[in-house]
Amino acid sequence: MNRWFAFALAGVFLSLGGCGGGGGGGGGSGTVTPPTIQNTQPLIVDAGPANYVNILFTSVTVCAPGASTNCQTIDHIQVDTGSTGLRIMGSVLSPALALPQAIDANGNPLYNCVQFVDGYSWGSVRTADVRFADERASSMPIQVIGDTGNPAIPTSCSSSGPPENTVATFGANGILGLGLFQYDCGSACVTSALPGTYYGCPSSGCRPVAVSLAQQLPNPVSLFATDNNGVIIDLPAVPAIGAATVSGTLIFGIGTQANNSLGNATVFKVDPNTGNLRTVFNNQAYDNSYVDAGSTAIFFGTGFYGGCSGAALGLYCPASTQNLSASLRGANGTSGAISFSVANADLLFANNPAFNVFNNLGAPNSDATSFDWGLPFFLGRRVYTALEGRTAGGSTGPFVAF
Amino acid sequence: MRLVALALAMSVVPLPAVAALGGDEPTVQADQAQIRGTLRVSRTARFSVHEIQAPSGTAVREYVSPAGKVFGVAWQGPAMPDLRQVLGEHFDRYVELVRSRRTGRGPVSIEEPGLVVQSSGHMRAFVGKAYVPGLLPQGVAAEEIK
Repeated sequence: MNRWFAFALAGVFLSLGGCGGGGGGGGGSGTVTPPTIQNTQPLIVDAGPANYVNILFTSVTVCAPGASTNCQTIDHIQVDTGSTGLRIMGSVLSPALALPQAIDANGNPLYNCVQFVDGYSWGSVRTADVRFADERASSMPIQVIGDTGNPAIPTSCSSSGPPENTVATFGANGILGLGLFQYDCGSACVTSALPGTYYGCPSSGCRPVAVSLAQQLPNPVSLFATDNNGVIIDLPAVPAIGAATVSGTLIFGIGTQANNSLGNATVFKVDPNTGNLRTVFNNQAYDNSYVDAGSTAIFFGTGFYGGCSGAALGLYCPASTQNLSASLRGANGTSGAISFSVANADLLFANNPAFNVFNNLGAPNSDATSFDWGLPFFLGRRVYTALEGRTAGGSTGPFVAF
Repeated sequence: MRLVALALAMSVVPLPAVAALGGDEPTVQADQAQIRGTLRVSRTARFSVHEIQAPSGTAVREYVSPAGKVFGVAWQGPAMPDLRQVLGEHFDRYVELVRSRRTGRGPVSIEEPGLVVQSSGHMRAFVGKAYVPGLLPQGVAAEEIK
């Protein structure tokens, strides 16, 4: 079974007319209590719309800007802490939303190219009001990927690898980048028109353009009125054989409400330019490591174990399960041990073909200076991701904590 | 008239993509022009390294053998490099292999006799390298491409 290409389009929940309400709070007589903002929403790892393993999903509600009734809730949006910005496949967006397209400084329609390590996505930049639980990000730029009527993809965008412009090739109905940075590109795109980022597209063709921070895709959390300093991804553990699905909670804000305090979690500050921090494994330092819920496995080393052959091609397939330990080192001098396992992925997949979540997938990482702590790291943990420049639980981001 | 037509046709047909990996040293200059970066060259007895700093902040290093062949490329920085440019004739094969080998999202490791591509990182911090094993000059290890 080829997990990557097996394809089943999952349902997209349309809830036209469901964007109002929420809020709540106060009421009552005399006593003044701060309004309770619902700051949690469900997470799930399941087969998703394209039948991949280890992809973390949530739902988002997208409304036409300023509208309270013209809204749509879209499920199976991938949750990613390795990128910033909300990106949705045009094929799952209701045309009735008619989200307005952003315009660049020259008056041309604005498009965005996002280059991931394993491919690229191309689409228009549009403005939407976006809601998660009771949290709202108003008039937020989002990318609509693979929308009909898009101009030809510039070669400087498609030059980073395979296209990921459909639900099938992306593996999700969209991606919610809740990473450490406030903007997807940041100051580099303010000062320069950089290929592979933003494009202005008059009828004569697309050209890279510089864009202000306000026009860039933001981390939606940064736009919330409260609970705007980061997120917590809280996922239960799964057994070593894996599980069909696992459900958890996405919590907005850190140290802003009773349900999101740092508690005794350890804060690991990261490099403010890269988001990276040090991992020590087998007495060797991996200085450019990162924690990324959007990665399928724990990517580390090359040739540590055998490769896989079947459906798990690209992952590690050791002869027997390897029980390992490493430590994470924050830029603030903190240290924490991580125990993890790498099992034979071919066997895991063959033994339970219907399982979609595994805590023991490892894969080679050709960068000899990094560990990519992917989704397996998040299982059985409560992982905090604090935004750059925001104070969270007494520490200033960017940091991760667990 | 036929000559004029031919000349016109030639002027509008885009130039073929210049192969960087596997190409000759002059293609490094083409890459520099394409990337619009600044070039710094360092030479050793065994190979030379042409480092192009792109406006995005990403550095691309091209490793050139004494015979003048680009045998390896490496990159590091906040944006992905233009892989079509730096992989040259190997780009299409790279895309095909990434498509066929994916088990999920994350760093890419492609290794076959004629092409090795290793790409890692995330938004704001990418790193990777590519080389053709058969083009490595004698005595040069793949680990030296970085």
